[in-house]
Amino acid sequence: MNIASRVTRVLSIEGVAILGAFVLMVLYFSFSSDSFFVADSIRYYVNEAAPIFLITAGLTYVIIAGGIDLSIGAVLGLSAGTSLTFSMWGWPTWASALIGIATGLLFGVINAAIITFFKVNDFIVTLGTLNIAGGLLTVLTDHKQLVGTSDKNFMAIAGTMVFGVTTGIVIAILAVVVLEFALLQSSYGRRVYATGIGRLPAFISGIDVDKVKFQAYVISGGMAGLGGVVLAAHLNSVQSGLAGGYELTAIAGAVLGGVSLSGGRGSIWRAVVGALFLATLKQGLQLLGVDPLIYQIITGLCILIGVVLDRSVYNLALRISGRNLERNHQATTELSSV
Amino acid sequence: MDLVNAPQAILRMEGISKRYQAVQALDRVDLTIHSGEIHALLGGNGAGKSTLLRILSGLTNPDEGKIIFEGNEIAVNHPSRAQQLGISMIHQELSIIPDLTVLENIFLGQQRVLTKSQKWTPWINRRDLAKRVRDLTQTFGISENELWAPAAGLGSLKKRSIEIVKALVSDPKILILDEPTSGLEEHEKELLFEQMRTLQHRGVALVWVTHHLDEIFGLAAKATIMRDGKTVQEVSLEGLTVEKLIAFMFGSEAASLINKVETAHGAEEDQNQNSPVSLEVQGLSRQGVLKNISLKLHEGEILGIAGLAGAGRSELVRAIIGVDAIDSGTIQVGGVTRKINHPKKAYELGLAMIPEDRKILGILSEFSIEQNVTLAKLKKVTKLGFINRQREGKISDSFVAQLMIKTPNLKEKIRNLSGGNQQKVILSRCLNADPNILIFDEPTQGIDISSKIEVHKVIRNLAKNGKSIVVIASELNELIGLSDRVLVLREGALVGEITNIPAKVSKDGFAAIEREILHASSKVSS
Amino acid sequence: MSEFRSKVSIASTRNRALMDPSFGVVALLALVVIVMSIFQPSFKTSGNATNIINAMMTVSFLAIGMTVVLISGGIDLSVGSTMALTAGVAGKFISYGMNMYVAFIFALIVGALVGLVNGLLITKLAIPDFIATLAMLGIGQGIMLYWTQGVPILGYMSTPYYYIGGLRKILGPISIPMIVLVVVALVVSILLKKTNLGLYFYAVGSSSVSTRNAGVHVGRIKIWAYVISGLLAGIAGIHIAGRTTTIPPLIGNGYEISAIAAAVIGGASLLGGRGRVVGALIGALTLTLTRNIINIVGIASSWQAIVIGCVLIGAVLANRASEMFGKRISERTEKLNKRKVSA
Repeated sequence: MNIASRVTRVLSIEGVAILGAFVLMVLYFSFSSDSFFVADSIRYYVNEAAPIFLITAGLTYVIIAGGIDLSIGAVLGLSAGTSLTFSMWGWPTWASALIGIATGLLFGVINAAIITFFKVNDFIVTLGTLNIAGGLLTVLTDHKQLVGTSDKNFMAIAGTMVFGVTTGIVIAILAVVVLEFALLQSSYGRRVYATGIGRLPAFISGIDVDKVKFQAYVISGGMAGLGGVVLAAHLNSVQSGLAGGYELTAIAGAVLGGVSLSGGRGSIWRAVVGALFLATLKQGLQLLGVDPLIYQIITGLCILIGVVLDRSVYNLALRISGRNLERNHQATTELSSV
Repeated sequence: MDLVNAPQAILRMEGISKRYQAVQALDRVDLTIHSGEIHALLGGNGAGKSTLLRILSGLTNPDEGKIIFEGNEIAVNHPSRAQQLGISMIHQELSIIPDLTVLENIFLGQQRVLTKSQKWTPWINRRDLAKRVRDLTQTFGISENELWAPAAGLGSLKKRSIEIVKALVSDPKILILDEPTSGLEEHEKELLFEQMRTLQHRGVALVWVTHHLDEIFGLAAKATIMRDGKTVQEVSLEGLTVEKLIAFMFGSEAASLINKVETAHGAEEDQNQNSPVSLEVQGLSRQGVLKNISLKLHEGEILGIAGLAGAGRSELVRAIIGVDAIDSGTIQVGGVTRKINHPKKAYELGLAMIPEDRKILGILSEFSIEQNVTLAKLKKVTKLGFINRQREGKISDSFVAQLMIKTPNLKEKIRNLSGGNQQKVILSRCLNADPNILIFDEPTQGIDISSKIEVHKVIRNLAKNGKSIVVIASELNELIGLSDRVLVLREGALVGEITNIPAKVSKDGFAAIEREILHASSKVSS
Repeated sequence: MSEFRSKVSIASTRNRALMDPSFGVVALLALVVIVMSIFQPSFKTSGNATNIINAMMTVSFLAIGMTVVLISGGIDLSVGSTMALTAGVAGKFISYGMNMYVAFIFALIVGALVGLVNGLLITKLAIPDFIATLAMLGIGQGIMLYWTQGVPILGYMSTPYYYIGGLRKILGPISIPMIVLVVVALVVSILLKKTNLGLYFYAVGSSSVSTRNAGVHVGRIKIWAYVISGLLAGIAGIHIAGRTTTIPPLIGNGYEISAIAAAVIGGASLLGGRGRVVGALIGALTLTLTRNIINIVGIASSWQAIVIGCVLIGAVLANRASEMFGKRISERTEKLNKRKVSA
């Protein structure tokens, strides 16, 4: 009895499904391919994924607040471009990094201002800024590839090894931890959830919902900027179209992790696990020698299965835990009249 | 109860059970309805009435039990099946589709019944359909023009009329009415009751769910009483009093308690006019909605605001609290002129509003009770930007005790609570913000009698402790019983004031005040 | 009836035009066209006009389908890859020796099937529409990539197909795709305005709960919306295969975004319950016109994306402005009415 109720309690933690699926997948790949669970290969794809974790973390704020931000991929690319460019021009590392982050913040502010001030649809606006940011990157790189800053320090932003992981990953982990802590424990985080659950009741309760959304978009932009700096430092080259499609991975990852697109539900660690799942999937398939032409099919199927499973596990856990509650003679909850 | 000679029941629900995860919503419930009968379905919140109706109207399926309709066992899998059988429902929550026109709302899903055609054509002939519903819509005050207007822009009164027409248009065999009189004025209620009698004489079976026990006498012959998901009893309403009915619904202890409280109308007599003015409004206007309204609110006073639906009552208080913008006018809080353009500012100045329609405007459904309670003043539980969960728990605990909120624990999501308890949580949220002025917009909407009494007690206590209260209530009994003074609005303008309502109002005095309010509220007929 | 008519005319034609949701965009378009015609003589030519109309065909088909889905409260991110897939089906089957028209039918069936799968994923498995159609986008693209092994499809063109694809005109500037578009637009328009199914689309998008209460099978309606979207993607696929004469596997890339943008510019709401076929066409025209102007004015292609982004944002702002303007007009008209009635 005790074990059963413990198990159900664990199962009913939201996001457990994706974590479980992730672990299973890792186990599968580890056994199927010798080169999977090797430190180098893990490091490789996790490094690649660091920028995605950063934008996923920022995106989660926006989604929980009830919005969406499609521009994060393009803004990440542009920020990578601006920071690398300044580094190539000989600016000190910290200045170049700041420029990159500022690029992201600028777009965050633009999104925030247009969406909250004019009350227009966020899908279209962020689609617009996606195009603008992408276009600016094309202009910046002038269809060429920006290569190579000689500034070793800049590359060190993402390249230095710390406790066996690169600084890029450390930055990502730090950002995720900080943002998650803020989301779950701070009063701002509470306001974000409130805005996403019900804009009207939150407003009537005295929450400045516009301000909350504004700040969420700025955070999202800032994370895209930071991600751009990390990516530029990691690749040491930038070209037009960089990070295109990253936003879809971030969104898919968030949804896989149980973040609801209608707002008010989810958390960052789950979104990041979802994004990690997708990144690991790609890596595992590659190492297994699966035909790259069917990656997308497998990824698509995994997304579908993942979403269904996540909900099913949660519902199952609720049903089991519900029966346990009844047996423990908990007071009956009155139903609201629907 | 003479069932032996009664005609065969058109509907029999037997042994219906339904479980939602941890909660047994219905436990072997029985319900028997005859044609040509008005049958009341009564019970407090959480009794299971709504769940039973959901099953009958096809929105959900029972776990166990039988439904026997016209002698045949059936399963109502989907609302379309209910419609096919001739079961129509007037929902408590407005089931209006905003982007469709009024006409489209009325005939949606019912084209075949309306046109009485056996062949199914894909085409819609709107003019034809308009003709067919003309009589019914005129009876309920929907004009020809309004048929073609989008339903979104209409007031809640019109929307309810649309609901009613929609249910009647298909000539149902069983009509379910879930709180049909909420938001209706007296003469509209009479109209509805008339229609109900007509339908009854035509042989339609009516299942009537209502919290207004006084309304059912003289109209319903029988009542089925539910409590905690079980059928308590089926009673004949002949010779029954409200007290006896309440005893069936809540137990005899509750009945005597309710009786005592009801007669103890607003205890002491306060000459509120001499207390300091806590809130003053001058010349408040908003184009098309509010016309130059001025009022004064005193400490310790309960000010009632009366008027027909659409008169501007909610709009007035929403403007005061900063939810809606105003075109002109000033507001003084505690003697100082302030600009209130956001509810946040209102809370900071010591105002708080318990909104109408808690489901849409009040509760944050996914949040727990604690999280709902602290939302309006997060400062109280925030230290260095982070939320102190223990403080949150302590604060919520004290409110749960103070307002007697029924819940297994504080972490329960608010949407699992009954309407009455949800309202108490919202009230806690407002009280937690330490307001001096509280505005209640329909504080007991959709709440059962025992919770209603509790809420009234709280309001009176608040006034006794020096808070200034504004109450909007459509039910004049409630309004007059609570208020020290009543302002009457009509079409956005202040048209009357009734002062010095005594603490204990006699029956005649009551009727006189009621008449005065109704006279001022209604349009002067030309 | 007559009193109804007189009341309607109070909202005069002028006011009704102002209150039209697409007014803002159309006004902007008209302005741009006038400015362009003055400053760039090459814009005014009939050759350029036909260019524009030809270029907007593909997006128009997709935008009409997207509008239907948006009206019903959903979204379809898979239309681009479905278009590519159906183009591939048409091209490949023809090159296998199948009769062209039969191949077309297969292409349409594939399109409708993809729509059906989308609909089922969303209604039966309760997968959010964004995710379900996103996954289908990937799966569709993956199938296309694998099937073609990355190699563009060739060798399926024939003389009739040149006509069907619009590369050869049949009467002056008029081509078959134009006729098809007009027919499709009319059919879908009539479907939305005059049939039960059309009404159900609006109802479901506006409030699926209330619609279900009214006895409508909401799930079925949603599935139909996605099937229509898939079908139109199939038409677009047949068209684009004929127009470009080769089918690279990723030919559909980005078209779903254009379709959504066109539908929204034309007044469809991402929340559901609103939208018109005419709006879809206006939106498609806006996007195509933008690209056309960029080319004529000679803006470097690197700036194209930036301009398109600005156009998107500008268009929704214009719509919002006309919406608020329209509200003010209707309020004023109401006041006028009230005065007239009480006089």
